[in-house]
Amino acid sequence: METVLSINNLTKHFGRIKAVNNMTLEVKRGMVFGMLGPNGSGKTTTLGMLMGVVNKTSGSFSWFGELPKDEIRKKIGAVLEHPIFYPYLTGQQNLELNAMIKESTPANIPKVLEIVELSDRKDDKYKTYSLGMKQRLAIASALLNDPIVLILDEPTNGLDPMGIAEIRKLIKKIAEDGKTIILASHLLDEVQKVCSHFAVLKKGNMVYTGPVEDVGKGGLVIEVGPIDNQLHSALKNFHGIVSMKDENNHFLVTLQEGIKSQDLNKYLFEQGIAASHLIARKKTLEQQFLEILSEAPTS
Amino acid sequence: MLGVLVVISITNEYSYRTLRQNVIDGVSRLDFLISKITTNLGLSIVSALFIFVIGLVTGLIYTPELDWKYVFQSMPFVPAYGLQIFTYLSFALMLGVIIQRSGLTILLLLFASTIELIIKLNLPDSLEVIKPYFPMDAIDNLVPNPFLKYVFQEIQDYVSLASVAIALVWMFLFNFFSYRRLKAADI
Repeated sequence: METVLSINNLTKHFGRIKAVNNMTLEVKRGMVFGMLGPNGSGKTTTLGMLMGVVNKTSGSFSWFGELPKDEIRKKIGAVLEHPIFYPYLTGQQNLELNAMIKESTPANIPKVLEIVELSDRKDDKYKTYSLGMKQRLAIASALLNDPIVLILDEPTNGLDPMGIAEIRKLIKKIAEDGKTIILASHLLDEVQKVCSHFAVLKKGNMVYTGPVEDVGKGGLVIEVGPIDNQLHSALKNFHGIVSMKDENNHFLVTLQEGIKSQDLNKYLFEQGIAASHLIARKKTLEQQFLEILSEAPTS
Repeated sequence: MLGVLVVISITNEYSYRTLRQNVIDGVSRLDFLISKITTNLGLSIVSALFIFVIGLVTGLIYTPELDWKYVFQSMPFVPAYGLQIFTYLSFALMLGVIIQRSGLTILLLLFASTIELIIKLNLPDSLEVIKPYFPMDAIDNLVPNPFLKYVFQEIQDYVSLASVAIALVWMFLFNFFSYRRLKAADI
């Protein structure tokens, strides 16, 4: 697969704060790449460096195999942090201006306005827009030049649930067109739903990177209850068990890979125990994320 | 007045963060600065033309004798005035790029001459010679204030090449510093 973006030991210091530390990353064509991390973990700084607004301290990166040039950014659609437009111009005028900068045809404007459903407000001044509309206008502007890569930083920030669902649908649709999307977010649910790959940042360090499908691999976690001694000793003797701990009114049992909840149930039944409570917990990206963050060394 | 306009036009780009978005969209920092400098140049040319037309009209009204040779007599003052405005606007642009806050920049711009005067008054005698090279002075010297004409009945009625050279150097430096600053900044 063709490499769209490759980052090599990219570093940014603000004074003595290491905002981004030795990041190395590769994004291939067609990926929907999620960048996760708590607030202040360096997501926006990284994207800022990629888009030429933040000067890097050291390291390098390349778009489409070429060293960064101003021209290249015209092929990328990006929304960093909150949407930025000239407040005293209308949505339409702002988009016309952006089309001029990106050297794309103004004929795309009605199309992108239609996509983000802003057509009926296009002649109102930008400063009269609600936050959600500003957010949608920003996405419209990013789509203007039919970009190969789309960079979105917290695209659903401040939107209502309907707006979030719409944007999610929009991202999926754009991804199906074969576009590469880089999505920074701390909404894990969002990343799990739309991304194909993800990376986790912590205090400027990249602590994990891999495909989203891998989430949930590893042993199954099962709640078994109620707590009593008989169950406790039976579980202890089960061959497929990795660890066990008490939680509220049940045991939390982690099983070896390949062992299913039925196996455990069957075993308990053979031991003459009928568990009243037996639930397999699905491992979500959120749990994985928290695990990764707590495992990562704090530097 | 024009200086304030330029300051607002540049500091607004910072406070609304549109400069940031424009760079993200693919404008290079140099392109951005060139667009601002071109605007300055346009404003200067318009001002110079304006002065030229006013000169023509007032000349036409008050002249005792109408002759083409008088019409273009002090012509070099018009481009010199244009250069004066452009250098001043370059200075305003540089302040805006460095300070990025409109209020503070406008204050500093208005008091620049005063600040320069204070520095000059406190200068040791040995450095007396560099006085005409101070930026505000250099700009003013291009077209000296004709007020003295009425006091001493005499005035410098030509544009001195030395003052043009000094102003050109400052003009270049102002725009160069703007570029350096913009290039290095995280926006």
